[in-house]
Parts: sequence; C-alpha cells; structure tokens
Amino acid sequence: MKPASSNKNFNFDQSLALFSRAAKVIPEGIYGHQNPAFVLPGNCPYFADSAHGAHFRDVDGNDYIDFLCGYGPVVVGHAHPEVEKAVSGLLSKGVCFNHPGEIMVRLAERLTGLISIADWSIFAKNGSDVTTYAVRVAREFTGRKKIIIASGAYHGAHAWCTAYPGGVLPEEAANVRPIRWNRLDDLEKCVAENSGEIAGIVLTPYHHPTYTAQEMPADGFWEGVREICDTEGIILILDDIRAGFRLSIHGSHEVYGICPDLVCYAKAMANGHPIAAAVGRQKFREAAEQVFFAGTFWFAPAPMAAALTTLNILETGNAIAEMERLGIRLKTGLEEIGTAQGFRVTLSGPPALPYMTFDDHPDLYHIQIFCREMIARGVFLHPHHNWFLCAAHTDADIDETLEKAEIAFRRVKEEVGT
Amino acid sequence: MHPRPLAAEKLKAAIYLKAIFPLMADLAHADPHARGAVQGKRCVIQLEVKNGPAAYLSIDSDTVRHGIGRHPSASIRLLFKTPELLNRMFAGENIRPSLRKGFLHLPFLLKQFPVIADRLTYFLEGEGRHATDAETIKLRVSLGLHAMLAGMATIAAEDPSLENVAMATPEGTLLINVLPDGPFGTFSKLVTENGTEFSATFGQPIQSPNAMMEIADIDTAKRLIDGELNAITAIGLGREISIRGLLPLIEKASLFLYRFGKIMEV
Repeated sequence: MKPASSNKNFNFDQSLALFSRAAKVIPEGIYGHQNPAFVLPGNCPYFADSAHGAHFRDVDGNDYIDFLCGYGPVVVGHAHPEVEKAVSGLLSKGVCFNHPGEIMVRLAERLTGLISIADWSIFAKNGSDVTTYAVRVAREFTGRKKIIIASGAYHGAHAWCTAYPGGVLPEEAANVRPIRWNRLDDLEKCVAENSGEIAGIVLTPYHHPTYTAQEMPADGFWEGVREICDTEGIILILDDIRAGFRLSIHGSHEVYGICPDLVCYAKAMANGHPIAAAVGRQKFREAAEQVFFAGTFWFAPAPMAAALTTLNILETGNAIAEMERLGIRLKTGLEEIGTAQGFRVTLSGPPALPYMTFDDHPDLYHIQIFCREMIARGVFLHPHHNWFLCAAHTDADIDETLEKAEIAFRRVKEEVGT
Repeated sequence: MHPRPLAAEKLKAAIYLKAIFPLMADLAHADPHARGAVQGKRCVIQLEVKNGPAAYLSIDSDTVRHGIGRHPSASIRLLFKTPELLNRMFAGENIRPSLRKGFLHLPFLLKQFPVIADRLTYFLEGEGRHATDAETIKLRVSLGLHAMLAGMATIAAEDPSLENVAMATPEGTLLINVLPDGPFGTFSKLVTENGTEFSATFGQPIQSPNAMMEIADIDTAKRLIDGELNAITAIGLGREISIRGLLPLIEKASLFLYRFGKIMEV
C-alpha cells in the first residue's frame, strides 16, 4: 500500500520499532484483533500511549480523534474523571481479595433492575467468557449439544465460536451450525435438520460482521426467532457485547423488540475497565448454578465500581442520545461528501456504531485508502471493523472529521478512481 | 512411527500430484538440465493412485504441460496401489509402482525422467538451496511460489479439517506478486451453479485481483519460501510483505498455506 499523503508528517517509527521488538518475544507481535495486519500495516499506529475523552495519542506522539474507542468499551470517554475516581477509590483499598466485595451484589442488583429479562447476573472479564458460559447454561438446561449462530458473527475467541481452526477439535466446530443472518428460512431448515439437538441460538441484536456492511433485523425476524425457540425448546442467547448500553441503558433487546432468555454484556459496561456479565431469566437459574464458572480476577471490585458509575452516567445524562445525534451527523456528512466526490458510500448499522462501505467496491481497496488518509490526518477510522462513537465526542470532532474526509475522498479518487 | 490415517495420506498425495508434480513442467522450461532430458521426446506420463487422485505431464519436445486428472491417451501410466506409496516415492524412497502402460517408453522413464526429478530435489531440498546466483534464486522462488499457490488451492478444495474455513472464504482472486518483476500467481475461489472451485494459476497476468499480497523483492521471497522469514511479522511491519484489498480472502488463504506447510513437513 502506498504511503498516505498528509501535511502533518505522521510517522509510526516508534510503533514499528516496538512491533519489531514485540515480534521477537510475543507470538504475532501483537495478537488477535489488535494485530496490525487487521488494520493497515505500516500505515497506522500499533501501540498507544495515552487517551483522554474522545482522543488518543500513539507512542510516536501522533494525536487522533478516536472512532474505535478501544473496540467499543470506551462509551463515556477515555479516562472519564467520575469513572476513574470510583475505580481509584476502591483500588486504594486493595485489588484482589479472597472474597467478593459488597459491590458485586450492588452491581448484580443494578443489572437486574435495569434489564427487563434479568432475574440474575454473573460476572467475568471478557465477552468470550460470558458467551461461552451462556452456551453451557443452554446445554445444561436442554441436555442438547448444538448451537446455531449467524455466519460471520463474532462471539469470541473460545473454541466453540472462533472462526480460526488452530487448536480447535473437529467435534467442537461440528456442534455449531451457521445460518445466514435475517433468514428465518435458514433457521427453520437448520432446526428441522437438527431436530431435538439444538440447545441454543446465539445472535447479536443486529448483524455486525467485519469487512462488510452491517445488517439491521428485518421486520418479523426476531418474532420469528422467538417463536421457533418456543416451539422447539431452544434457548435464545442474545450476544449484546458490542452494542449493549450504547443504544439503550436497558440493553439493545429493548430497541429491537427482542425477547431473549440469556443476554451477554461486556464492552461498554464499565467504560474500558475489564468486566463482562451474563444475565438470565429465573427459569435458567438452576442450570446456571450447575455450570462451574470461575476466574481468579473475576471478583475484582474496581471494575465493578467502574461499571456502576458508567451505568449511572449513561442513565442520568443524555450520553446515549448524544452518541446517536453525533453518529447521525457523521453518517449524513460522510455519505454526502462521498456522493459529492462521485462515490456511493453507506454508513450502515446504528449511528453510534457505524461501518462505512464504498458500495461499488466490496474489495475494500477504497475503504483502506480512505482510512489510511484519515489516520494520517489524525482521525482514527478502522477500515474493516465498525466504528464507535462515545459521549465525549463533540460537534467539533465531527466537523474536523468531515473536513478531513473531503481530502481523504479526493485521495481515494486520485489513487483508484470512483 | 505411527501409520498416518488414509485420509491424510490421500490429501498429501493430492498435494504432491497437484502442487509438486507441476514443478517438473516448470523445470523442463526453465532449467537447462531438465530441458535437455525432455528435448525431442513426445509422451504423456500419468501418475495415479488407485481410487484416488491423478495427474499427468504431457511432453511434446520442449513443451511440457501439467494436467490434473486422467489423460485420455497417456503413453505411460504408473498406478500406485495406495496414496502412501505415491507419497513415499515423492519423498525420495525407491518405490516401484505398477507400470500399466508404456513399456516402449521404459528407457525414458528410467533415464530421462529421473533427471527432472533429481533437478527438482536439487532445487527444493538439495544443493540448490544454498546457491547464491540470481538465476537459481529466481528459479527456486518461482518453484516455491507455484507450489504454495497450488498447495493452497488443493488444501482449500480437499482438506476436510478446513471445510468450514473453505466455506467461509469469500469468492475472489488473490494475486501474490514478487516485486519488482519477479514471479507471480493467483489463488482463487469461484462459486458457480455447479459448486465451489478453488484454483491456482502461475505466471498468468490478471487484470483486477480482489486482493493483493506483494513481496518486496526476490530475496525476501526466498527467505519466506525457505522458512527464514516470519510472514506474520513481515506483514505486520508492512515493509517486506504488503497486503491490501479483500483481507478475509488473504486471511483464509494464509490458513491454507500454513496447513500446506505442516503437511509437507511431515
């Protein structure tokens, strides 16, 4: 890929030097979703230094408006003073104990109060922890093995759900059946073909795969899913890890009219502090108690304080509405500027979590050049993953982004045409 | 040593026939020794595994072509009772398959054909690995890249353990290109009414690849093929290997390539 043109003279020398060091002692240098190959190798920062509000600085000293927000967790802004105060207040009393703190009970009470279907709540650290837990609860409850997911959906890095075959036993993959998102006919067929064997259906509230446009639920889709689950005795697990609490303080199922049995949360729950939660209806509690679930750090009180504070900020302020308003400005602005430059551009998904596609160019060359040019001008946009707005973004951030987008679109046109 | 399961042997035989055997055709064009061995000869050598994969080399004087499947009029037909026997022959063991056809070509089979096989061994595993002249290095890179691409396509099409990955691979063509003017080839997935097809081409120009992997120069390509360059690090740094375009195609292709390497090292 050509280097970006920018008058800011961004360079990534320190990032590249650190990556060279990392590659000697860490498999892949940087592993998983933060591997630079997933972004724009050679044309993006690899290591971060600090972040405040809606901005971050990389190890080369380059500053960016952050539209990835740590891949979603940062919802009220990096290093939010209220959240950090709550965390540091608890940290000063100790980090990891032999017993949970009182705060765990408060957080569980808070979640069961906020989320309509939640009669109980359980905590871990990452999304994978709780999606895997929910799958086990569904298997325990039904006595069945198989799980249905949507093709291209991400539910974590554990063996049952990873798209990568390394270290995965064939039987683990064999018990997971993919269907196409929004296709009730696919779901009906899959359930019929595996009659009496499906324990659970794991779906996200809307489809947010990588590399392609996001897809909103069609009319009747969720009602149809619920009906099939009820008829067949299948547990409906909602993976609300990516969108949870960014669209509604009561969970995304309230936005889309979904009636799940179990719901998984993580990312935006504690503004970047490590905590995940699974919640469920009373009827699954006995099965939940049969699934041994433990992790040394899962009871740490500080992230629970972060969660309580973040939820309070989201509930009492207008953060969620603001993210949507600014997301609409971003969507409208980018689509209009793109059109003016001769491109068909779409920002799909909810405004607070958009993903941009050049509709005539599914090969991704255009979006890669566009994001490269934006990054080189101090706006961090991911070419292959949905973006995230947070409550710290401002109209000025959107203005600056749109201003720079004009140049970036022009550069795309010069390099690969419309 | 534990015997390898039949399915694994069959897959390896398919790789030998579809990804390594064609290199003999490459050599017959590019290497003077191999070229000398086929000059003036006209025959079709068929290698096949009983109830398994088959491929052939069609030699017409100095033009040698590789083909997959059974040739309708092979002049020499070597039948291997099991895939394991074919694999052991490719691995250098002295295996004698059944000669089902081609007794008249025995002298060629016993004298000239082994010259090409020996030259292939020389470049892939022998002294040729240590050659420092530009021509040999370029030829080795060519052979290595061709084997990689054909191996990836074979794995994608035939490895049951990567069936889900193959299904999830997006349709399209990945161009792998050694800069500035080195060898190049493609790995493709095509979905038609008749089903899904994985294929590889080598040295055939392509207009609009859906994804591109560019290797900075021939030396980098040599280090990559010889296992001296960590591809993940090189891609991560974005200097020695650059990628762009339909990334999920590259991502899946890299899984097939990894598997190809693991199978060939056993």
